[in-house]
Amino acid sequence: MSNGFDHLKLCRADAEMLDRLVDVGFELDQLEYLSPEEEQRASRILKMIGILDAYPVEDATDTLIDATLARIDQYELQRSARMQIHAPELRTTKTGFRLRMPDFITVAAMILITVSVFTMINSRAQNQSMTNQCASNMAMMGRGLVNYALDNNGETPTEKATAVASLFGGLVPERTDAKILAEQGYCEHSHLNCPGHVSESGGFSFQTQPAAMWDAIQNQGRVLVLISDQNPILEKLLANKSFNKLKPSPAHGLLGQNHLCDDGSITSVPAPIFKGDFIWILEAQNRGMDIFLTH
Amino acid sequence: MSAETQIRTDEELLTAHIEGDSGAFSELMDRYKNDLLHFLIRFVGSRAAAEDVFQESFLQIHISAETFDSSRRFKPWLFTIAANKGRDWHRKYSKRTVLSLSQDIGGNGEGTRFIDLMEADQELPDASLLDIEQTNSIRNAVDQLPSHLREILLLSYFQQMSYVQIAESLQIPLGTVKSRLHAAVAAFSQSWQSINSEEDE
Repeated sequence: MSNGFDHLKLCRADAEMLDRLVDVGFELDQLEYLSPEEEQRASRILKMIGILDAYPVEDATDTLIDATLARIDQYELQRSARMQIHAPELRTTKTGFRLRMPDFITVAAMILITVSVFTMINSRAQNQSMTNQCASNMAMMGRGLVNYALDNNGETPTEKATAVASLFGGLVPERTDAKILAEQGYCEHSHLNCPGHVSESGGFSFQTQPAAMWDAIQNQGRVLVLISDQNPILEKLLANKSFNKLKPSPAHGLLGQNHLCDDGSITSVPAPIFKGDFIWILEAQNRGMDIFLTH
Repeated sequence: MSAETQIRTDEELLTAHIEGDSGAFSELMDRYKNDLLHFLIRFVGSRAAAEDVFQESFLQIHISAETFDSSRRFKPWLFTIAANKGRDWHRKYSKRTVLSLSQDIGGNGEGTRFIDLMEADQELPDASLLDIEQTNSIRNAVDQLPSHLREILLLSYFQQMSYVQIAESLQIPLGTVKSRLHAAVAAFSQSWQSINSEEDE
């Protein structure tokens, strides 16, 4: 910002003394080895800045505190309203991951668009057919999740991920239970599989978090990965064996893995990193912010 | 209030708030209500605006509580958020004021002017002995400082934040913090003396 003060500077002696005063929290008696002249200069600076003490201020009242708390309550009410579907006829199910409701419509729309785009790509690029079919399946699962949540008070179906509890210090986290989607007709059983995955079990991994942490993570406003190709190092992680956290999912050869994000987008990335986060592992120093995908 | 509550640190109170302790946030606010409101009144120049920014600051603390790095101190974080909110307020509402600086004090002519506080012949009053008229002069002198200088002066002097802390808080280079504080003190000195010279005449 340019203004009438930009050309003003303290002379060198004042500037140096001011720096020393800042270092000691403006406590003059904390300055050591001052010459009489330096002491006079320091006193002068302190007296000049000390004039600020007389700037008229008033104490806060209880009303201000009450008003602030009320504002926070109001924010929470609005946030809660945004996260709920106001449809009393919808049945409420067991507690599951709740997706950000404003995103749902976007998700539904984007997934449909994504599917059609991937279908076009598929017809043109045969060498990516596995990746594209995988993305298509992921999109159908995502659409199933959206529809399930619309029918279930905004909640997605989850299961207790007991097998990975040891990674959460014994706390049993939850993850999306995709089987329910197929069993209840929200998607086909075939959509639960990545065509490039070699084993019989699925081929996808799902966001895994303690349920209580899910809302907190979502409140941070980050885009998160909900589903990806299968985590290739989970078994080693659980067995406490050495692993390469950068190992890509083998499902599509060297092409990397697909991600379905909670903003409805599907991306194909070569390395298992999403916005600086290694998605195959929990990073202890970064708990609460991690994306962690398990199956 | 239990003894246990009384000894909780700021960071523990914030953690308790995240975990659903309904009284923790009130206690945190109570702890900093005057300190923060005083900072904001000086920063934005009016109590009404300061109260609004105060509320926005604590609302932001509430919203961002989950992201707080508990290995760090709460107070600098609070004042960083408040300074950001105060700056937003200035961007929205503040009129840009430019003081006429016709009086030379230790200057070197055109371009950059160096202020030597030792050379100013005006007697500086003791803050505790000022009358209402003089306190209004102080308000005017501070209010005429641009916000980017004012916030650093206030954080440094009243919150006793180090240059490093201010640089981290405001996400500006250390050298910029220093030069802004130097400029702020020079400007405040100049502003104060200009106002008092006008009053003397």
